[in-house]
Amino acid sequence: MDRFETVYRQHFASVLRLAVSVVGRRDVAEDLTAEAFLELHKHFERIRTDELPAWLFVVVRNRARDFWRREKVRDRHARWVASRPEPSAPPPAGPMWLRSDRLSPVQRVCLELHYAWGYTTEEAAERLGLTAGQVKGHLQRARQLLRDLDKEKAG
Amino acid sequence: MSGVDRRLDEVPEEVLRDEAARWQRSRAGCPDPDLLSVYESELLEGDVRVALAEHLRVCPACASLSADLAALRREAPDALTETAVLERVRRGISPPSWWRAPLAAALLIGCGAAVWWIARGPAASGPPAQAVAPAAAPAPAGPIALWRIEALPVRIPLSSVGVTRSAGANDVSAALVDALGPYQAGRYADAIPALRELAAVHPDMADASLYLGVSCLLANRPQEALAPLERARQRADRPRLASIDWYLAAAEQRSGQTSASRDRLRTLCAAPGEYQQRACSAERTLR
Repeated sequence: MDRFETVYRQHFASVLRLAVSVVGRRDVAEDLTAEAFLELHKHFERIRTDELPAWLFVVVRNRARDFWRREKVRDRHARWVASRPEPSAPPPAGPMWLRSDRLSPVQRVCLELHYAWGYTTEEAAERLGLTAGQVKGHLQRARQLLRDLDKEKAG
Repeated sequence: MSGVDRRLDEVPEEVLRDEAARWQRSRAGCPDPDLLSVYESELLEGDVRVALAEHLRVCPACASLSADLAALRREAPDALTETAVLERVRRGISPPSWWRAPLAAALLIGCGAAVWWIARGPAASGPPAQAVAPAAAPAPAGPIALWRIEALPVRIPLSSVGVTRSAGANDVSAALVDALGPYQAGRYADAIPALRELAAVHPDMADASLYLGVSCLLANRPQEALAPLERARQRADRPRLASIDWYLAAAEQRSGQTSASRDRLRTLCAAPGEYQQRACSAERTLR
């Protein structure tokens, strides 16, 4: 294992976690993380070990700002703020099956993205850092759990 | 659970869809999951954060989804992701998957069509078919994009490689095959000069312009991709238009022409076909 790979494995998780926390979407976060390490690779001989992972965090934050600017994320947010209804009129809580404690967070999220928001399995997968097959698997298991739950209640 | 839920055993998919659709209609004012997923982002604007916090206080559904999304964000990445990202770094720069897949497919189909054309023409002209089409070319190098529309595989229908089946058609086909050599190896920038020359000499050859445009796009020169793709669009057969529009939309988006890109994606989204779903998805991302 070369020195760069050692450094990569040492800091990958924290860099990706920061990227996810800043941009939300896992696919974009992975792009930012790859870009940060690519940048590190270019300047590897000049960067001191004690400058890491702060140096990588700076790259991620800068690229994330570029992403927000380029994709006009702020404009989308502003449109939502302008168009949202008064907080005094809450939407209904939703079907019980979306809030079942029997389901795991990832199963609930897959159900909601796919069925409520109409995302394809591929779109949901990108946002969650999963493959489309994994999303389909979560949906299938969630449906099975809901059927079991329904039988328990009926019986 | 409700009576509707009791039907899960019979038609779970339809029940879930119906229930979700009815519920969703009542949630027109809810933030979409992309916005919820940046609730904790340090880049989030103060007024949006306040508005989100207000909404989460009164909307249990969004509060629940937001908490689930936050739980997923905190999960440690798996070894597979770690290795996959390292591999991208090691390759230098790699294109995002939503470009890589179409290009691999385009290459495959394009070269297949070239081989077919040459094989049907006079035997003496053109390079041997086996020199043209390695079926399993490695994923080519290209720019990392910060933004992806989607990762769905697509294909570019390539109706023909030559201009016409005239006497010079095979020479033209051979020239295109030669010009596609660097492209096949993933050296898009190197492919541009020969493709540009070919497109200039044979302006009616839609494929030369198309590959020139796509090469520019993957060489991270999206503005240069616009003119050849437009030219390809004017000359291509009808079945090819959707593919060209898909690449044009990407070139426009990457050139900062978001509005034009969105219009093109809307048109693709409205037309039934293989690009409909991904175009709708891309258009939604641009909104």
